[in-house]
Amino acid sequence: MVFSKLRKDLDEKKISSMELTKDFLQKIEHQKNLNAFISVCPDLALEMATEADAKIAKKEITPLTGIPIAVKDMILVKGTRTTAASQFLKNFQSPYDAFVTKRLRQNHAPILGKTNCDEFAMGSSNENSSFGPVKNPWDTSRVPGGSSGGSASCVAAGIAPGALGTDTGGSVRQPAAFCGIVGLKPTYGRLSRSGVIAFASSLDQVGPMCKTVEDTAFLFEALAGHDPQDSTSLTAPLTPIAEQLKTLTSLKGKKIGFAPKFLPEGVDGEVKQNFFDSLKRFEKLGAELVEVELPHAEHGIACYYVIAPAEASANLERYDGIHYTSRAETAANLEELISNSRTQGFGSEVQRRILIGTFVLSSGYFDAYYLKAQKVRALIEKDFSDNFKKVDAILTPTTPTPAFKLGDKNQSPLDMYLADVFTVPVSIAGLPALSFLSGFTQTGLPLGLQLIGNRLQESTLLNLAHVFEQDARFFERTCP
Amino acid sequence: MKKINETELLNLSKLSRLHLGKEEIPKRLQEVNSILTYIDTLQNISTQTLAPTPFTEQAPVQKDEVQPSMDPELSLSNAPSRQGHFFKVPRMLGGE
Repeated sequence: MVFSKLRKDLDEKKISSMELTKDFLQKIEHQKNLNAFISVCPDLALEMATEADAKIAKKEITPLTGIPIAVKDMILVKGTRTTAASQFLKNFQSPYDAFVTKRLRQNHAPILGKTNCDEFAMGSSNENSSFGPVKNPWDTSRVPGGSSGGSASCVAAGIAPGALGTDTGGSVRQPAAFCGIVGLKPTYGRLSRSGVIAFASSLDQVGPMCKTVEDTAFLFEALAGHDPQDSTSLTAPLTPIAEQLKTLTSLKGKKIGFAPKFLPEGVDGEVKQNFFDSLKRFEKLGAELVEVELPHAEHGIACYYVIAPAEASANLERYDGIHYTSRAETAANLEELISNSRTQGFGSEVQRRILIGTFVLSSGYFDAYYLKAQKVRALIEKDFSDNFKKVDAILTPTTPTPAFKLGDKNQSPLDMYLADVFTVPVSIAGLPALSFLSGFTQTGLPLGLQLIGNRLQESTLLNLAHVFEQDARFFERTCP
Repeated sequence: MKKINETELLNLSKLSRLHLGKEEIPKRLQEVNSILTYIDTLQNISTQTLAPTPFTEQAPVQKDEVQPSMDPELSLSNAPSRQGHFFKVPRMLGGE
């Protein structure tokens, strides 16, 4: 159910936030098989719903007041545990609220629970969670994508109206595409990282995930704002867009770039067909299509798998068996305590990335790998900025394939990494990008497209995708 | 093309403070080397004239002002072992 319908029902007193929240908590219970949540938080949700109802009675409402939201388990919510889907943090109690959590509280949006994800947000299928894999509600034999798989799965299944995810190389957009919903990765610095468990600090961003573009816009606007607690938080004002979306029906005057050469080998036939069909739809809606080149985008994955593990290996140094809940039971000395705790606490993918990160940062290799990757990063960024002199946005598929089967790719880390080929270059460049539902395969699996925008141009992306969505109306189809 | 051997892998795991069981070594070596081979493709890209500065827009520099810090009780609330306002650890040097 979309926010506008919930808002109307709440404001007209057809339903209270308490009733609505109870209804979603019940739906979560009924769909436990999806494994979308690590912790469900009924006490917190109902307490927040009571407050929301009091606000609604006094007509002190924001677009989100009383609408329940799920939060990825990488984001601190005081009074709940935050595990990052890791055994290391299985008993970690959030000591404070993340900035984005405070925003949910200020808007009186009841927090339903903490959603499952890949451990420390490292993964593209949600199979790296130490709390078990999440299922894709369109076909439960398939992955929901990752790392924000729980957030995507619960929104697609209709057991949460909206959710927060985090995106480092595609972790909001890729699961949004696999589950047929909308996911926005804002410009780096738009949403505060304060209170979000760090993976790769120069790439991490929080992102809203909802059923429609309009809902995503409302959630994004509620979360945005400068936060002095995050030294990379931007001060640039946000152009409000959510309220205006309804009035937009044409894309006349908008220029959409597409890069035919950036369709690497291995892109599924139906994905390609959907991409070209969608370009035609954008043209029909008034947009001008412009062919562009992204000559360095294909190096995005190689660049990312230097920078992200390097930053992760540094960020994850803090998990030492001393500060954060878990400690190995046997250790002869301090050195062993640290090693034993880390070996027992971290899963396989996390350990692999720490090893790679330690290697590229080690003496003798730093210039050849880390510094080199940072230079290639500048090239990728320049590709995009050159193109944004002539187009408003660039369209790509979000993923090379529709959702794959559980177990299909988790034996080969590289195969899994290539699932992020379209999303990673955008993260490397720090740009905003939106994944939206663009159709279905013959067998009924959702397909997603990614609109990439210039720095701070989230409103352009929301505008373009909204007009497409209202014309295509794919969001009306629900999971079987 | 850089490939690491078993000794280098064991050194990496020591630097990473992770134990590698004997039976894990062949699989880990293969995984790490396949990733290193892949990221080695970066070496073919010409970047001589480039500075490694990724973002054109920077967040504002903040004033160096003293702010209240987190309550020590809260900071210590997730410690696996503590004594007063300290994190407690085993002795650093070997036994008596």
